[in-house]
Amino acid sequence: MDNNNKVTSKVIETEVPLGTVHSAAIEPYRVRLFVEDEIVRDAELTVGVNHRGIERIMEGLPVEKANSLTEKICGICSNSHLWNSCLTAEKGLEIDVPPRAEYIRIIMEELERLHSHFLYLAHGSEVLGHETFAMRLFYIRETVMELLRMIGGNRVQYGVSVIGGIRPRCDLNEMKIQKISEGMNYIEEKIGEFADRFVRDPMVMSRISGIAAITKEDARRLATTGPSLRATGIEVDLRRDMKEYEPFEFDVITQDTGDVKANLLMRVLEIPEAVKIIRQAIKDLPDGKITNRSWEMQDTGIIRSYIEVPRGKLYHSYSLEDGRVRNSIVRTPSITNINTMEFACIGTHITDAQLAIVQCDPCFTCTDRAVKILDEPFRNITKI
Amino acid sequence: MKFVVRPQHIISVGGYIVEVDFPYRNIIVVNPTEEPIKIDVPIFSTEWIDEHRKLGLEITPTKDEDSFLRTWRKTKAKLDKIKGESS
Repeated sequence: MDNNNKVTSKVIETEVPLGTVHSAAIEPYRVRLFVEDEIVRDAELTVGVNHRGIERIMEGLPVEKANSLTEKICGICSNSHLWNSCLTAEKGLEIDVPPRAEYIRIIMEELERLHSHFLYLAHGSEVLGHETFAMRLFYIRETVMELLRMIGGNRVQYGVSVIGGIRPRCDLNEMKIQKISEGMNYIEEKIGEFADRFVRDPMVMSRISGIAAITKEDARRLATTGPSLRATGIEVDLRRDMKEYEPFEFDVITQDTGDVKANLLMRVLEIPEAVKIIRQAIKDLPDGKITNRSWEMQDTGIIRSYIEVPRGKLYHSYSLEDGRVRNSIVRTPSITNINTMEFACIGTHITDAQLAIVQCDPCFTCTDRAVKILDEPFRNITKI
Repeated sequence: MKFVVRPQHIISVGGYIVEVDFPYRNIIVVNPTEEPIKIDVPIFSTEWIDEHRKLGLEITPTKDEDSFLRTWRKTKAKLDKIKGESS
Protein backbone atom coordinates (compact mmCIF):
# COMPACT_ATOMS: atom_id res chain seq x y z
CA MET A 1 0.00 0.00 0.00
CA ASP A 2 1.35 3.44 -0.89
CA ASN A 3 0.94 6.81 0.81
CA ASN A 4 -2.32 7.45 -1.04
CA ASN A 5 -3.94 4.41 0.60
CA LYS A 6 -3.83 2.42 -2.65
CA VAL A 7 -2.74 -1.19 -2.94
CA THR A 8 0.43 -1.18 -4.99
CA SER A 9 0.53 -3.13 -8.23
CA LYS A 10 3.91 -4.76 -7.53
CA VAL A 11 3.92 -8.39 -8.70
CA ILE A 12 4.68 -10.81 -5.89
CA GLU A 13 4.41 -14.43 -6.84
CA THR A 14 3.49 -16.07 -3.56
CA GLU A 15 -0.03 -15.38 -2.51
CA VAL A 16 -1.62 -16.83 0.60
CA PRO A 17 -5.39 -16.54 0.56
CA LEU A 18 -7.40 -16.64 3.78
CA GLY A 19 -11.12 -17.08 3.72
CA THR A 20 -13.74 -16.21 2.81
CA VAL A 21 -14.57 -18.73 5.49
CA HIS A 22 -11.64 -19.45 7.78
CA SER A 23 -11.37 -20.88 11.28
CA ALA A 24 -9.42 -17.85 12.55
CA ALA A 25 -11.97 -15.38 11.24
CA ILE A 26 -15.34 -15.13 12.91
CA GLU A 27 -16.99 -13.49 9.90
CA PRO A 28 -16.70 -14.08 6.16
CA TYR A 29 -14.08 -11.93 4.44
CA ARG A 30 -11.23 -12.65 2.07
CA VAL A 31 -7.62 -11.72 2.72
CA ARG A 32 -4.93 -12.05 0.09
CA LEU A 33 -1.46 -11.93 1.61
CA PHE A 34 1.37 -11.37 -0.86
CA VAL A 35 4.37 -13.02 0.74
CA GLU A 36 8.13 -13.00 0.23
CA ASP A 37 10.21 -15.21 2.54
CA GLU A 38 7.22 -15.60 4.88
CA ILE A 39 7.03 -11.82 5.34
CA VAL A 40 3.83 -10.11 4.16
CA ARG A 41 4.76 -7.50 1.54
CA ASP A 42 1.25 -6.49 0.55
CA ALA A 43 -2.28 -7.34 1.58
CA GLU A 44 -5.72 -7.06 0.08
CA LEU A 45 -8.88 -7.43 2.07
CA THR A 46 -12.16 -8.02 0.29
CA VAL A 47 -15.57 -7.75 1.86
CA GLY A 48 -19.00 -7.85 0.30
CA VAL A 49 -19.58 -11.55 0.85
CA ASN A 50 -22.86 -10.67 2.49
CA HIS A 51 -25.16 -8.44 0.52
CA ARG A 52 -25.53 -5.02 2.10
CA GLY A 53 -28.85 -3.30 1.79
CA ILE A 54 -30.02 -1.75 5.05
CA GLU A 55 -29.65 1.87 3.92
CA ARG A 56 -31.56 1.05 0.75
CA ILE A 57 -34.38 -0.59 2.75
CA MET A 58 -34.45 2.35 5.18
CA GLU A 59 -35.13 4.69 2.28
CA GLY A 60 -38.75 5.85 2.54
CA LEU A 61 -39.60 3.97 5.74
CA PRO A 62 -41.31 5.81 8.63
CA VAL A 63 -38.53 7.07 10.88
CA GLU A 64 -39.41 4.87 13.90
CA LYS A 65 -39.36 1.78 11.70
CA ALA A 66 -36.08 2.82 10.06
CA ASN A 67 -34.55 3.40 13.50
CA SER A 68 -35.43 -0.09 14.67
CA LEU A 69 -33.99 -1.49 11.44
CA THR A 70 -30.58 0.08 12.19
CA GLU A 71 -30.41 -2.18 15.22
CA LYS A 72 -30.08 -5.12 12.82
CA ILE A 73 -26.86 -3.70 11.34
CA CYS A 74 -24.74 -5.26 14.06
CA GLY A 75 -25.24 -7.90 16.70
CA ILE A 76 -22.47 -6.52 18.89
CA CYS A 77 -23.23 -2.79 18.87
CA SER A 78 -26.96 -2.87 18.12
CA ASN A 79 -27.70 -0.40 20.93
CA SER A 80 -25.18 2.10 19.50
CA HIS A 81 -26.88 2.04 16.09
CA LEU A 82 -30.36 2.47 17.51
CA TRP A 83 -29.21 5.21 19.89
CA ASN A 84 -27.43 7.15 17.16
CA SER A 85 -30.31 6.76 14.76
CA CYS A 86 -32.70 8.16 17.40
CA LEU A 87 -30.20 10.93 18.19
CA THR A 88 -30.22 11.91 14.51
CA ALA A 89 -34.00 12.37 14.54
CA GLU A 90 -33.88 14.16 17.91
CA LYS A 91 -31.23 16.53 16.56
CA GLY A 92 -33.24 17.33 13.43
CA LEU A 93 -36.56 17.73 15.24
CA GLU A 94 -34.99 19.52 18.25
CA ILE A 95 -36.38 17.08 20.81
CA ASP A 96 -35.20 17.30 24.43
CA VAL A 97 -34.62 13.91 25.99
CA PRO A 98 -35.47 13.59 29.73
CA PRO A 99 -32.31 13.28 31.88
CA ARG A 100 -33.36 9.88 33.28
CA ALA A 101 -33.62 8.47 29.76
CA GLU A 102 -30.21 9.90 28.86
CA TYR A 103 -28.63 8.25 31.89
CA ILE A 104 -30.21 4.87 31.06
CA ARG A 105 -29.01 5.21 27.46
CA ILE A 106 -25.49 5.84 28.77
CA ILE A 107 -25.71 2.78 31.04
CA MET A 108 -26.73 0.66 28.04
CA GLU A 109 -24.00 2.10 25.85
CA GLU A 110 -21.30 1.47 28.44
CA LEU A 111 -22.56 -2.07 29.09
CA GLU A 112 -22.35 -2.63 25.36
CA ARG A 113 -18.79 -1.26 25.37
CA LEU A 114 -17.95 -3.73 28.14
CA HIS A 115 -19.33 -6.73 26.28
CA SER A 116 -17.72 -5.64 23.02
CA HIS A 117 -14.32 -5.19 24.69
CA PHE A 118 -14.60 -8.58 26.41
CA LEU A 119 -15.50 -10.17 23.08
CA TYR A 120 -12.49 -8.46 21.47
CA LEU A 121 -10.13 -9.63 24.21
CA ALA A 122 -11.50 -13.18 24.02
CA HIS A 123 -11.19 -13.26 20.23
CA GLY A 124 -7.68 -11.77 20.43
CA SER A 125 -6.64 -14.37 23.02
CA GLU A 126 -8.02 -17.14 20.83
CA VAL A 127 -6.12 -15.93 17.76
CA LEU A 128 -2.87 -15.64 19.68
CA GLY A 129 -3.36 -19.22 20.84
CA HIS A 130 -4.44 -18.77 24.45
CA GLU A 131 -7.81 -20.47 24.56
CA THR A 132 -7.98 -20.57 28.36
CA PHE A 133 -7.89 -16.77 28.48
CA ALA A 134 -10.54 -16.66 25.77
CA MET A 135 -12.92 -18.96 27.64
CA ARG A 136 -12.41 -17.11 30.94
CA LEU A 137 -13.12 -13.79 29.26
CA PHE A 138 -16.30 -15.16 27.70
CA TYR A 139 -17.27 -16.35 31.18
CA ILE A 140 -16.80 -12.84 32.65
CA ARG A 141 -18.68 -11.36 29.67
CA GLU A 142 -21.73 -13.43 30.59
CA THR A 143 -22.37 -11.11 33.55
CA VAL A 144 -22.63 -8.14 31.17
CA MET A 145 -24.83 -10.08 28.74
CA GLU A 146 -27.23 -10.97 31.58
CA LEU A 147 -27.37 -7.32 32.68
CA LEU A 148 -28.18 -6.30 29.11
CA ARG A 149 -30.89 -8.93 29.00
CA MET A 150 -32.29 -7.72 32.32
CA ILE A 151 -32.60 -4.13 31.07
CA GLY A 152 -33.47 -4.64 27.42
CA GLY A 153 -35.14 -8.06 27.50
CA ASN A 154 -32.71 -9.57 24.96
CA ARG A 155 -29.05 -10.51 24.84
CA VAL A 156 -28.75 -8.76 21.48
CA GLN A 157 -30.94 -6.08 19.91
CA TYR A 158 -32.33 -4.67 23.13
CA GLY A 159 -34.60 -2.02 21.58
CA VAL A 160 -34.04 0.47 24.41
CA SER A 161 -34.06 3.87 22.68
CA VAL A 162 -37.03 5.47 20.97
CA ILE A 163 -37.28 9.00 19.62
CA GLY A 164 -37.53 11.26 22.70
CA GLY A 165 -36.36 8.75 25.30
CA ILE A 166 -36.45 5.06 26.10
CA ARG A 167 -39.08 2.33 26.16
CA PRO A 168 -41.00 1.98 29.47
CA ARG A 169 -39.96 -1.68 29.91
CA CYS A 170 -36.31 -0.55 30.07
CA ASP A 171 -36.73 1.79 33.03
CA LEU A 172 -34.59 0.87 36.03
CA ASN A 173 -35.98 0.02 39.47
CA GLU A 174 -34.10 -0.54 42.76
CA MET A 175 -33.68 -4.25 42.13
CA LYS A 176 -32.16 -3.69 38.67
CA ILE A 177 -29.85 -0.96 39.99
CA GLN A 178 -28.68 -3.34 42.73
CA LYS A 179 -27.98 -6.06 40.15
CA ILE A 180 -26.01 -3.64 37.95
CA SER A 181 -23.97 -2.52 40.96
CA GLU A 182 -23.17 -6.15 41.90
CA GLY A 183 -22.28 -6.90 38.27
CA MET A 184 -19.87 -3.96 38.17
CA ASN A 185 -18.15 -5.15 41.36
CA TYR A 186 -17.67 -8.56 39.77
CA ILE A 187 -16.39 -7.13 36.46
CA GLU A 188 -13.93 -4.84 38.21
CA GLU A 189 -12.54 -7.64 40.33
CA LYS A 190 -12.24 -10.06 37.42
CA ILE A 191 -10.72 -7.62 34.91
CA GLY A 192 -8.11 -6.72 37.55
CA GLU A 193 -7.21 -10.40 37.94
CA PHE A 194 -7.15 -10.90 34.18
CA ALA A 195 -4.97 -7.81 33.56
CA ASP A 196 -2.55 -9.01 36.21
CA ARG A 197 -2.22 -12.46 34.64
CA PHE A 198 -2.13 -11.04 31.12
CA VAL A 199 0.78 -8.64 31.61
CA ARG A 200 2.72 -11.10 33.78
CA ASP A 201 2.54 -13.88 31.19
CA PRO A 202 5.88 -13.74 29.33
CA MET A 203 4.61 -16.03 26.55
CA VAL A 204 1.66 -13.75 25.78
CA MET A 205 3.72 -10.58 26.03
CA SER A 206 6.43 -11.86 23.69
CA ARG A 207 3.73 -12.94 21.20
CA ILE A 208 2.11 -9.50 21.03
CA SER A 209 4.86 -6.92 21.70
CA GLY A 210 6.01 -4.98 18.67
CA ILE A 211 3.74 -6.89 16.27
CA ALA A 212 1.91 -4.98 13.52
CA ALA A 213 2.70 -1.53 14.91
CA ILE A 214 0.95 1.51 13.45
CA THR A 215 2.49 4.97 13.85
CA LYS A 216 0.53 8.13 14.65
CA GLU A 217 1.10 9.46 11.11
CA ASP A 218 -0.18 6.26 9.50
CA ALA A 219 -3.18 6.19 11.81
CA ARG A 220 -4.11 9.76 10.78
CA ARG A 221 -3.56 9.03 7.06
CA LEU A 222 -5.67 5.88 7.16
CA ALA A 223 -8.48 7.62 9.10
CA THR A 224 -8.16 5.11 11.94
CA THR A 225 -10.74 5.55 14.64
CA GLY A 226 -11.60 4.47 18.18
CA PRO A 227 -9.35 2.44 20.47
CA SER A 228 -7.12 1.53 17.50
CA LEU A 229 -6.37 5.24 17.03
CA ARG A 230 -5.87 5.83 20.74
CA ALA A 231 -3.46 2.87 20.83
CA THR A 232 -1.08 4.94 18.69
CA GLY A 233 -1.05 7.74 21.27
CA ILE A 234 -3.65 10.08 19.75
CA GLU A 235 -6.09 11.19 22.44
CA VAL A 236 -9.37 11.37 20.51
CA ASP A 237 -12.59 10.20 22.11
CA LEU A 238 -15.91 11.57 20.86
CA ARG A 239 -17.44 10.97 24.29
CA ARG A 240 -15.53 14.06 25.42
CA ASP A 241 -17.58 16.17 22.95
CA MET A 242 -20.98 14.56 23.52
CA LYS A 243 -23.36 16.48 25.77
CA GLU A 244 -24.79 13.17 27.02
CA TYR A 245 -21.44 12.35 28.65
CA GLU A 246 -20.95 15.78 30.27
CA PRO A 247 -22.11 14.71 33.77
CA PHE A 248 -19.62 11.85 33.92
CA GLU A 249 -15.96 11.79 34.82
CA PHE A 250 -13.72 9.33 33.04
CA ASP A 251 -10.22 9.15 31.59
CA VAL A 252 -9.42 8.78 27.90
CA ILE A 253 -7.00 5.86 27.75
CA THR A 254 -4.09 5.98 25.32
CA GLN A 255 -1.11 3.78 24.53
CA ASP A 256 2.02 4.70 22.61
CA THR A 257 3.22 1.78 20.55
CA GLY A 258 0.23 1.10 18.25
CA ASP A 259 1.04 -2.63 18.16
CA VAL A 260 -1.08 -5.65 19.12
CA LYS A 261 -0.05 -5.26 22.78
CA ALA A 262 -1.15 -1.61 22.83
CA ASN A 263 -4.48 -2.50 21.22
CA LEU A 264 -5.20 -5.29 23.69
CA LEU A 265 -4.17 -3.17 26.68
CA MET A 266 -6.33 -0.29 25.40
CA ARG A 267 -9.44 -2.45 25.79
CA VAL A 268 -8.30 -3.89 29.13
CA LEU A 269 -7.80 -0.37 30.51
CA GLU A 270 -11.02 1.02 29.00
CA ILE A 271 -13.11 -1.55 30.88
CA PRO A 272 -12.62 0.06 34.35
CA GLU A 273 -13.44 3.47 32.80
CA ALA A 274 -16.76 2.12 31.46
CA VAL A 275 -17.45 0.62 34.90
CA LYS A 276 -16.69 4.04 36.43
CA ILE A 277 -19.27 5.72 34.13
CA ILE A 278 -21.94 3.09 34.89
CA ARG A 279 -21.35 3.49 38.64
CA GLN A 280 -21.78 7.28 38.37
CA ALA A 281 -24.92 6.83 36.25
CA ILE A 282 -26.67 4.47 38.68
CA LYS A 283 -25.63 6.57 41.68
CA ASP A 284 -26.95 9.87 40.26
CA LEU A 285 -29.86 8.45 38.21
CA PRO A 286 -32.39 11.32 38.03
CA ASP A 287 -36.08 10.81 38.77
CA GLY A 288 -38.82 11.78 36.36
CA LYS A 289 -40.09 10.98 32.90
CA ILE A 290 -38.33 8.58 30.59
CA THR A 291 -39.89 9.74 27.31
CA ASN A 292 -40.67 13.14 25.87
CA ARG A 293 -43.78 12.79 23.73
CA SER A 294 -44.44 16.47 23.13
CA TRP A 295 -42.83 16.87 19.72
CA GLU A 296 -44.12 17.19 16.21
CA MET A 297 -42.89 15.62 13.05
CA GLN A 298 -41.64 18.02 10.40
CA ASP A 299 -39.50 17.93 7.28
CA THR A 300 -35.78 18.48 7.81
CA GLY A 301 -32.65 18.88 5.76
CA ILE A 302 -29.78 16.42 6.03
CA ILE A 303 -29.09 15.64 9.70
CA ARG A 304 -25.75 14.19 10.80
CA SER A 305 -24.92 12.53 14.09
CA TYR A 306 -21.65 11.08 15.38
CA ILE A 307 -21.14 9.04 18.53
CA GLU A 308 -18.26 7.10 20.05
CA VAL A 309 -19.05 3.39 20.03
CA PRO A 310 -16.83 0.51 21.21
CA ARG A 311 -14.92 0.42 17.91
CA GLY A 312 -14.74 4.14 17.19
CA LYS A 313 -16.74 6.82 15.42
CA LEU A 314 -20.24 5.86 14.25
CA TYR A 315 -21.97 8.14 11.75
CA HIS A 316 -25.68 8.16 10.99
CA SER A 317 -27.29 10.64 8.65
CA TYR A 318 -30.64 11.11 6.95
CA SER A 319 -33.26 13.73 6.21
CA LEU A 320 -36.97 13.54 7.04
CA GLU A 321 -39.79 14.01 4.57
CA ASP A 322 -43.42 13.42 5.69
CA GLY A 323 -42.07 11.44 8.64
CA ARG A 324 -40.11 9.17 6.35
CA VAL A 325 -36.37 8.65 6.09
CA ARG A 326 -34.61 9.94 2.99
CA ASN A 327 -30.99 9.82 1.82
CA SER A 328 -29.94 7.51 4.61
CA ILE A 329 -26.24 6.86 5.23
CA VAL A 330 -24.56 4.84 7.95
CA ARG A 331 -20.80 4.63 8.37
CA THR A 332 -19.48 2.19 10.94
CA PRO A 333 -16.01 2.47 12.51
CA SER A 334 -14.81 -0.79 10.93
CA ILE A 335 -15.09 0.72 7.45
CA THR A 336 -12.30 3.19 8.09
CA ASN A 337 -10.37 0.75 10.28
CA ILE A 338 -10.21 -1.88 7.55
CA ASN A 339 -7.51 0.10 5.72
CA THR A 340 -5.53 0.08 8.95
CA MET A 341 -5.93 -3.70 9.17
CA GLU A 342 -4.54 -4.12 5.64
CA PHE A 343 -1.67 -1.78 6.40
CA ALA A 344 -0.89 -3.47 9.73
CA CYS A 345 -0.36 -6.80 7.93
CA ILE A 346 2.44 -5.40 5.79
CA GLY A 347 5.87 -6.26 7.17
CA THR A 348 4.60 -8.85 9.64
CA HIS A 349 5.43 -12.52 9.60
CA ILE A 350 2.68 -14.52 7.94
CA THR A 351 1.66 -16.16 11.22
CA ASP A 352 1.05 -12.71 12.72
CA ALA A 353 -1.10 -11.42 9.86
CA GLN A 354 -4.39 -12.63 11.34
CA LEU A 355 -3.38 -11.05 14.65
CA ALA A 356 -2.67 -7.79 12.81
CA ILE A 357 -6.21 -7.84 11.40
CA VAL A 358 -7.83 -8.81 14.69
CA GLN A 359 -5.99 -6.07 16.62
CA CYS A 360 -8.26 -3.45 15.00
CA ASP A 361 -11.41 -5.22 16.23
CA PRO A 362 -12.96 -5.91 12.82
CA CYS A 363 -16.70 -6.20 12.47
CA PHE A 364 -17.51 -7.18 8.93
CA THR A 365 -21.19 -7.61 9.65
CA CYS A 366 -21.36 -3.89 10.38
CA THR A 367 -19.33 -3.22 7.29
CA ASP A 368 -21.40 -5.25 4.89
CA ARG A 369 -24.66 -4.43 6.61
CA ALA A 370 -26.03 -7.81 5.70
CA VAL A 371 -29.67 -8.59 5.55
CA LYS A 372 -31.44 -11.48 3.95
CA ILE A 373 -35.16 -11.53 4.38
CA LEU A 374 -36.99 -14.34 2.68
CA ASP A 375 -40.65 -14.48 1.81
CA GLU A 376 -42.55 -16.81 4.06
CA PRO A 377 -46.06 -17.99 3.14
CA PHE A 378 -47.87 -16.45 6.13
CA ARG A 379 -45.83 -13.31 6.59
CA ASN A 380 -45.74 -10.26 4.45
CA ILE A 381 -42.03 -9.47 4.43
CA THR A 382 -40.05 -7.44 1.94
CA LYS A 383 -37.91 -9.54 -0.34
CA ILE A 384 -34.57 -8.13 -1.42
CA MET B 1 -9.94 -2.73 1.07
CA LYS B 2 -11.70 -4.04 -1.98
CA PHE B 3 -15.35 -4.59 -2.64
CA VAL B 4 -16.63 -6.68 -5.53
CA VAL B 5 -19.46 -5.26 -7.63
CA ARG B 6 -21.23 -8.15 -9.30
CA PRO B 7 -21.94 -8.12 -13.06
CA GLN B 8 -24.90 -5.94 -14.04
CA HIS B 9 -25.45 -4.92 -10.46
CA ILE B 10 -26.12 -1.58 -8.78
CA ILE B 11 -24.95 -0.47 -5.34
CA SER B 12 -24.63 2.78 -3.42
CA VAL B 13 -21.45 3.38 -1.47
CA GLY B 14 -22.42 6.37 0.69
CA GLY B 15 -21.49 4.52 3.85
CA TYR B 16 -17.94 4.04 2.55
CA ILE B 17 -17.15 7.72 2.10
CA VAL B 18 -14.77 9.14 4.69
CA GLU B 19 -15.98 12.73 4.55
CA VAL B 20 -12.78 14.75 4.62
CA ASP B 21 -13.20 17.41 1.93
CA PHE B 22 -15.51 15.21 -0.11
CA PRO B 23 -18.19 17.16 -2.03
CA TYR B 24 -20.65 14.32 -2.61
CA ARG B 25 -23.03 12.73 -0.14
CA ASN B 26 -23.49 9.42 -1.89
CA ILE B 27 -22.21 7.59 -4.96
CA ILE B 28 -24.25 5.14 -7.02
CA VAL B 29 -22.08 2.56 -8.73
CA VAL B 30 -23.34 0.46 -11.64
CA ASN B 31 -21.42 -2.42 -13.15
CA PRO B 32 -22.92 -2.67 -16.66
CA THR B 33 -20.38 -5.28 -17.80
CA GLU B 34 -20.65 -9.04 -17.57
CA GLU B 35 -17.55 -9.32 -15.36
CA PRO B 36 -17.27 -8.66 -11.62
CA ILE B 37 -15.27 -5.48 -10.93
CA LYS B 38 -13.42 -4.69 -7.71
CA ILE B 39 -13.67 -1.23 -6.23
CA ASP B 40 -11.49 0.40 -3.59
CA VAL B 41 -13.13 1.46 -0.34
CA PRO B 42 -13.18 3.59 1.80
CA ILE B 43 -13.42 6.61 -0.51
CA PHE B 44 -11.17 9.49 0.47
CA SER B 45 -11.10 11.80 -2.59
CA THR B 46 -12.91 12.69 -5.83
CA GLU B 47 -10.10 11.09 -7.85
CA TRP B 48 -11.74 7.80 -6.90
CA ILE B 49 -14.59 8.59 -9.32
CA ASP B 50 -12.37 9.02 -12.38
CA GLU B 51 -10.21 6.02 -11.50
CA HIS B 52 -13.23 3.76 -11.23
CA ARG B 53 -14.92 5.11 -14.36
CA LYS B 54 -11.81 3.93 -16.20
CA LEU B 55 -12.54 0.38 -14.98
CA GLY B 56 -15.85 0.43 -16.86
CA LEU B 57 -18.13 1.33 -13.99
CA GLU B 58 -20.90 3.90 -14.35
CA ILE B 59 -20.69 6.27 -11.42
CA THR B 60 -23.35 8.76 -10.37
CA PRO B 61 -22.46 11.01 -7.43
CA THR B 62 -25.28 12.69 -5.53
CA LYS B 63 -25.06 15.87 -3.47
CA ASP B 64 -26.86 16.87 -0.25
CA GLU B 65 -29.65 18.62 -2.16
CA ASP B 66 -30.23 15.83 -4.73
CA SER B 67 -32.94 13.22 -4.30
CA PHE B 68 -31.11 9.96 -3.83
CA LEU B 69 -34.19 7.85 -4.49
CA ARG B 70 -34.97 9.57 -7.81
CA THR B 71 -31.37 9.23 -9.00
CA TRP B 72 -31.29 5.59 -7.89
CA ARG B 73 -34.50 4.78 -9.79
CA LYS B 74 -33.22 6.48 -12.94
CA THR B 75 -29.91 4.64 -12.78
CA LYS B 76 -31.66 1.34 -12.02
CA ALA B 77 -33.96 1.81 -15.02
CA LYS B 78 -30.92 2.31 -17.25
CA LEU B 79 -29.32 -0.84 -15.86
CA ASP B 80 -32.54 -2.84 -16.38
CA LYS B 81 -32.52 -1.70 -20.00
CA ILE B 82 -28.94 -2.93 -20.43
CA LYS B 83 -29.87 -6.24 -18.78
CA GLY B 84 -32.84 -6.62 -21.10
CA GLU B 85 -30.70 -6.00 -24.17
CA SER B 86 -27.99 -8.46 -23.14
CA SER B 87 -30.35 -11.32 -22.19
